[in-house]
Amino acid sequence: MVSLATRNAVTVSGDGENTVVFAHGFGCDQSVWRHVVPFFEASHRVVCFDHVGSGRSARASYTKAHYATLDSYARDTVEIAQAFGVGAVTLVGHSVGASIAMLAAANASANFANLAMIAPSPCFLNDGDYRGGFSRSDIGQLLDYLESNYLGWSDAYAPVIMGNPDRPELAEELGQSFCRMDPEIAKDFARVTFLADCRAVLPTVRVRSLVLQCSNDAIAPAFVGDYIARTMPDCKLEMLRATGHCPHQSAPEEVAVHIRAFLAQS
Amino acid sequence: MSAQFDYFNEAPCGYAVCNFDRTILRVNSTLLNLLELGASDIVGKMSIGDLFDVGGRIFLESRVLPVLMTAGKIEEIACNLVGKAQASVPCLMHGKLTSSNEFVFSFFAIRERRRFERQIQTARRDTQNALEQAETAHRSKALFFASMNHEMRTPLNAIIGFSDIMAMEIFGPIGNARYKAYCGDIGKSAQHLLSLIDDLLDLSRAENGSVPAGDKPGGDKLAADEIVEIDEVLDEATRTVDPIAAAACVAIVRSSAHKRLRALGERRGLLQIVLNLLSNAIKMSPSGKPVLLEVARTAHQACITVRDQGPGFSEFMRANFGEAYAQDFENKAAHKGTGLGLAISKRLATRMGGSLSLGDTRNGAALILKLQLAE
Repeated sequence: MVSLATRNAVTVSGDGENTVVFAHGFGCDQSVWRHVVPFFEASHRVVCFDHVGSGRSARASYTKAHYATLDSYARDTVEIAQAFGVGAVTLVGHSVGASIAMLAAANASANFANLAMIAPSPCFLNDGDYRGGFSRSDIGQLLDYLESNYLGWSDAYAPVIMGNPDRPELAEELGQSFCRMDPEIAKDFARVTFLADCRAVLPTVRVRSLVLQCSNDAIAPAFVGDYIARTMPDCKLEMLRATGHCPHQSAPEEVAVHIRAFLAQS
Repeated sequence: MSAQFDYFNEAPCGYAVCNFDRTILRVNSTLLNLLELGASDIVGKMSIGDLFDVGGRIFLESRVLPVLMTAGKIEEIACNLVGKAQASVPCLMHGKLTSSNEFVFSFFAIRERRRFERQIQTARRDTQNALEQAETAHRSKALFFASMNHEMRTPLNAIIGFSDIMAMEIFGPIGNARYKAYCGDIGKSAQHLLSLIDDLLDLSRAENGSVPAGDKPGGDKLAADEIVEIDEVLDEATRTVDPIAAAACVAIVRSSAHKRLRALGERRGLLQIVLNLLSNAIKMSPSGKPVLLEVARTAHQACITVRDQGPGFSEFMRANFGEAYAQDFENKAAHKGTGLGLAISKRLATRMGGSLSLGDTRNGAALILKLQLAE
């Protein structure tokens, strides 16, 4: 059995009494955090990881049946926080990574002191008055995109993804290739991500929470951010000046400042 | 070349430039033509995501832009742009992040190519399905042969045994001589049927090899470490077919340029091949014409040739040489068995690291078996 560190390609950096764990979203890997992480490394222990099936996680650990719901990703996140977290643990998640973090906080509240959700959406599908933004046929279109695009995956990478430390030349090649995904897993993960509905869990989260809502987010609209802040027991909503769906990449400083302020208030 | 040529607007691909807010800052004429839209419809008004269908918008935000912001570029992304009246334009997109934090995208229309790719995707899926079906069919066929062999052999043995007893009148006279002759015919027909069943079983074995089902055909090789005395095997084969050769008035004439050759292979396999070749040749030979069995060698190979002066191979059989179930229905003389003998022999030869081929057949048929020499 592979170690937790290998399974999720866990990386630990920084130095501090408390820990921040970062959970990435669909379509990418932990490299999306690289401009945010430096804002925390001086004061915190920083833990980044790849969800199983993404980036450099252990491909062999993935089974479609096990990862058929976000709960399995949430359990992995709790395990990582328990194994690598020191002191009070803050969980930061982006997009579906925020849903995964929220589920982790709901199921293991004792492990987490704070929860920060960037551009979150507990349900991407429209449902009555709830406007998640998408219909099932929209998600079908996305799956079609995943069918026609390779996502940087190639067979040459497979041995590396399954853990092959004695071939550094491949690792070097990988260093230049970001956010690789096995096309089959990408389709599974897209289905699990965009058809999930975690709204029922929101009221049960007992960890103090923050929503960072972007302006003009085409994936997680303002309606959804409001909905989360209204529904969770202890949740603060911050509107970012940053636009789009990836403020941690386009405006890392603004994101870091808000999270640090949120931690300072605790 | 004109100095006024506008490389941005007149480029052979569409361009769009947007900022981190996704607002489109510039587009070129090629893109406007592709979408059948005017610059005033787009620039400063539309977000880059608005150029795509909904699936594309999600893909852009969850995949394309994150990769661009991490790696600085992204290449060969298949996408659908949405033009005037929601018309879908299949495109290939490349993207770059500039030093001034603008995203630059190029779009090549790939309508024909997309159609072609869809065909390939469909064909690949169909091929995969067909392959899985064929493998399942192959497994069932092997199982069928194994079970039918037993099921058919049991009643045939009864037919052969009892018709023999009757023909020999062991428990008393039959009475009518014609009935007695019929008993002999029943026995012979049943023997023939039994040999056909043996052929089918041999083929099934040769096809599946001694490797477990599911292994790759590349591994389908007999251990070629057994050393076989060729003359000794040919002696036994000749002895075995002597009765049918005598019955057909065909002599088997042996000639060996080299004695005591030793080949790599498997004795049982070699015997079966030679028996197949000899009995075929005897069957095809006109009465009174000999069958030649020759042994020669090259530097590393032993060559065993079986020649007859029969009708030879038709174009059809030459083209389908060694194919199981290939029958030359034009040639009635060739249609005396299952036609599996050659297919089995060819597979056995290959499995022993050798080959079976057709020689020059202007005058009858010549079959050449080549095996690796030991040492």
